[in-house]
Amino acid sequence: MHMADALISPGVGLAMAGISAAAIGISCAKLRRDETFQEKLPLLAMAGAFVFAAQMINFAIPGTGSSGHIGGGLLLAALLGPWPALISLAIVLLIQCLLFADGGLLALGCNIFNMAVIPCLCVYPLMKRVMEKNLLFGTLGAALISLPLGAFAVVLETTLSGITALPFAQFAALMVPIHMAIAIGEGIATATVLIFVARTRPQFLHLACDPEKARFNLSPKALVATIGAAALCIGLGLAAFASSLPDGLEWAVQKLAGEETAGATSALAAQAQNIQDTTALFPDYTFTSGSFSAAWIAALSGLLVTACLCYAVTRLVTRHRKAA
Amino acid sequence: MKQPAPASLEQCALQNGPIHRIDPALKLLMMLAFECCVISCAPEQICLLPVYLVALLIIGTIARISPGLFFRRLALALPFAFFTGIWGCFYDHYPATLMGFTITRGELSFLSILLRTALCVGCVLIYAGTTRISMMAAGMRRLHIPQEIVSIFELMWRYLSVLTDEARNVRTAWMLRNGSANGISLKYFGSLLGGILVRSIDRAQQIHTAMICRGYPAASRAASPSKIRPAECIGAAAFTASCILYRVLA
Repeated sequence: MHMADALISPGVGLAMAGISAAAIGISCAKLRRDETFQEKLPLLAMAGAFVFAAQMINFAIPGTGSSGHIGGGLLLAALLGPWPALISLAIVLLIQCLLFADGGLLALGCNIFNMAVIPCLCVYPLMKRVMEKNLLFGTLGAALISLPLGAFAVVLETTLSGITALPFAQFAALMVPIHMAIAIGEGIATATVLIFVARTRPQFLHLACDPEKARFNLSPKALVATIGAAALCIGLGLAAFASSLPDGLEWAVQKLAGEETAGATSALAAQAQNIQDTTALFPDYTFTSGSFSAAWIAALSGLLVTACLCYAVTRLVTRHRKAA
Repeated sequence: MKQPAPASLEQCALQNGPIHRIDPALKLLMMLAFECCVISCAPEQICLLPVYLVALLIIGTIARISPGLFFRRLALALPFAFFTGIWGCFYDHYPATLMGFTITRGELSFLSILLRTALCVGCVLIYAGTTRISMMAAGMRRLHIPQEIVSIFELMWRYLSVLTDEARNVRTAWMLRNGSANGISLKYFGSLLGGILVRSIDRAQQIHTAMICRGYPAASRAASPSKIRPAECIGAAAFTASCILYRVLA
């Protein structure tokens, strides 16, 4: 989800830096008042290093100028508490920016907001109770909220900067589902680690979990069913959102960015559009324009096709592994 | 005797050169000014960028950063920009001119995004290749970044190698227990990963205690660089001013 410098305008970059700096300032003030800070310091730094290592595994998402990887905000928040987690994650991003040139210096404010402020300060306090009750489902749910929200923030920031030529709706349609898939992986990975920590060292956790109850009590079949149900709910929710909101949002963002639509189209683009129209089952997600139920059906069938594809790929991969 | 080429930017930073000796806080501010100038260039102003590129390459040469290392690291960052810019070529077909040639506006913005990314990433690479971690932390302290943040920054960097060591230990143990088994099944994944985390935190606490015994925060603050020399200030101001003036006037 790291944004590069060339993808934002200085105005957006500085505004987001201001917001993130304010959040970090509050966080620092809270840490300073904490008398046990010196004792917590190694936990803060090591948990951050752990997330740093986890974020190394990433890939480029075509068209967005952004990378797909685990966020780690929820893990840190559950270990350290929301405010220290924000600082720890902000420093992870700072090291990546200064030493690895991953994510730009001017875009640092945006990156801290999308990957640290949203999961640590917005989603974690909301989901804390659920996570304490059921670590697995709570964490999965929190990841499914925070990662797509962060991805959506990336879309908003890039579009407001007026850099990418990709239309807002397509951009969001590319970023949000990819991050939803990553969120499922992140949710499960985070939950398994948290469950282990809750059972072996509950004193490391900020969450007040019962060590006896924390266990990964889910068979693979139940897991698939859970993920399917989650994807279904979110897909349907998004379908409702997609059918009503983006036109207005797109318009607003375009107005803000002062961008006019392109005039002439070339033969190549027309041909590409033709090919896309014939291959797309549901062009623009609608049968008749603006129809709400049509968007639902389109979303449902999209989910089904994705699920079948995922299943086929996993079968293929596991068969190869068995053969080897 | 010829020295072997440094294998990482970290090793580059250990050398001694004119750019290495600039105060880290000033270097950070100069970098910010440079990036602001580069990023604020609209696609139509692409002709301004080559001058910044030449300036960056000259600074890189003075900084003695090994070119192979520099371009390899640069190449890692460019795919992200490539995939962003390429969409413009498909969506934006408004005609534009570049040095007398007629191309589409999408292609122009594609070139501009690529160049701007290369400039910004190159700038950060030069900073990383000429500044030690301890100097970066000292620079942050000079810029009045809260002490808490600087401490965590230093410790996190120190702990990355500890984490790698612990991960290697756990992996070796797993391989010895499981002989021929390929990969790690989901069932054990959580406890292995959690195990690495818990072991590393324990180790981190031991290291931190040892550091405190050797006078950690005070000793590290005493090692910060001397006062900024007037010549450095003038040089940094001249660099920043020329970046901004060129951007505004050209």
